Amino acid sequence: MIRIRGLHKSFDDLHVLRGIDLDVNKGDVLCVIGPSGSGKSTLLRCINLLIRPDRGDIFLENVRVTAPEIRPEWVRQQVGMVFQSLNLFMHLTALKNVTLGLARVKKLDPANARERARSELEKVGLADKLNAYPAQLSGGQQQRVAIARALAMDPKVMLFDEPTSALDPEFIHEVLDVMTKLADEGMTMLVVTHEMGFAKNVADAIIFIDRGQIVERGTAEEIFERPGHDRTKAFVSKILG
Amino acid sequence: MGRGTTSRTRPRRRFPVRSAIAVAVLVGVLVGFLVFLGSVGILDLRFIVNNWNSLYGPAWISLSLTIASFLLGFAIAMPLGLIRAYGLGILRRRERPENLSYRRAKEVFGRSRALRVVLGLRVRRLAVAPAYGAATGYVEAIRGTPFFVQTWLVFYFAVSALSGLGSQVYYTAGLLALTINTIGYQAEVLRAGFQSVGQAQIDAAKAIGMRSRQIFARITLPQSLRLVILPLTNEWISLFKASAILSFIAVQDLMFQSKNLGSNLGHPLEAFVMVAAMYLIINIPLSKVVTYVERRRRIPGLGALPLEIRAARAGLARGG
Repeated sequence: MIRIRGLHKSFDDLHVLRGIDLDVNKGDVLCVIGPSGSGKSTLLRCINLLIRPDRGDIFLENVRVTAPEIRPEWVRQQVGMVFQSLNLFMHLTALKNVTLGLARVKKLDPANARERARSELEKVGLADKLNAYPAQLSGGQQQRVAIARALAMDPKVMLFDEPTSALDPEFIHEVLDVMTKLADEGMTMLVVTHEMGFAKNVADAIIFIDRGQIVERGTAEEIFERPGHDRTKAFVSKILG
Repeated sequence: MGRGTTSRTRPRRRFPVRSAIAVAVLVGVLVGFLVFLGSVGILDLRFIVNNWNSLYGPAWISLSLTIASFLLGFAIAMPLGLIRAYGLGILRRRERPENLSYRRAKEVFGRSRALRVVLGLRVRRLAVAPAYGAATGYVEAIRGTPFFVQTWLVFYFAVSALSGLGSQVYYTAGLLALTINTIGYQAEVLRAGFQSVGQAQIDAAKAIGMRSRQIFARITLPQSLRLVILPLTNEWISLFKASAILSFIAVQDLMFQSKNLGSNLGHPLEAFVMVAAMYLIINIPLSKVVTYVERRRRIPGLGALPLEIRAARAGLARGG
């Protein structure tokens, strides 16, 4: 589904990604862990071309999306993304947040767009919040709207960039529940997270990134209990306490 | 913020009783003071009543000049604010090599898109930097010189260049001077408005596949316009007051009329009291109505206040 080869990205003097090679199969859930500043977010943002890599290639179902003739808007339609910062459109209700992409990008007519948006919001358990503005929703509810907004575009892959890091603890589980359900339905997912419970129970594989390189890839058991690399060991022992 | 406890989407506010009382008290005190001055013989109230009707014509001149220049200024300030807000970002963005040759572009993008891509890159390189520089210079020049001086400059320009207009030249010069001035201030208000729309909002819109033009029309514009309503109202008020300066270049506005009544009929104090009252009568209801409507239509979490504070800190408020 996703194939990444030799990906490099620098911001000025900062070499953030130093040659990433990664394969994600259809239906796989891949969790990405690593210290802050290791390049996790940059990697995700390269996949939907919010950041254009300096070198290397990304393939999505065998289409080279890093080719200059590919429109980034087309790629982003295939790749849904949920951000760490709660960034629903502030001036739109939950329903309109989801409707906007359907009407403007997918060009559905208004009635169909509204119907589809309503059903996406129902799926994430927010049927009663259609007309609430983002500021009237809890962090967990906002992230669930953000998931619905991304899913409405019928993405082939979903990227989650620390979707629960900005949330109060009481709201984390409701977001993880929605993500778990999504994984069970067979969605291909790339999740940057420090929720070890989610990684253990849902992820097919975990990759550990440090200083812009993939240090180690394995199952949850391998990474958490028998890390093969010293850097992985040090990081895992830190986050598991 | 009531976390999802309310089913109402927008809080409905009652009629602003307190602010209505404040206005009533202010008017009452002022009128009372004038009546007092009249009763002790300082102020000739009969003169005010008799000559009040002579203010309507000049008031319309002040008002129409301000309305026209404000709207014209807004239309021109919009692109200026855009280039001020995004110019540097466009220059910094290097997604594609700027010296891409047409032949190479045709290989990569195909015949139909090659010309557009190459032209786009050339325009970006050749036009954005000068446009940004020009817009910034303009804004600084307007904000850094007195409106009084600008008015005289425009006046002498108009007298020598537009003399074909006959007696219309004064009104035209006034319109020009106000417009040129308000463009600079409105451009800065709009720039601040555009820049206050966070990168996270833009990223979210990009992430669902929206094009940059759609993002501007559906996200940036609606959010920033809500934020600039109150700063723009301030600009309207100070522009209306600044229009009094135009009386010096023989525009027969409210201020001109007050000098007329004062020196020709020998009642300067009464004349200026009348004109001050007229400015207030026009300005106060307008700003109150805008504030009231803005509050009623405000979207939770997207207030107008932060920008106003930011604008004040950035020194956008015009003195006088």
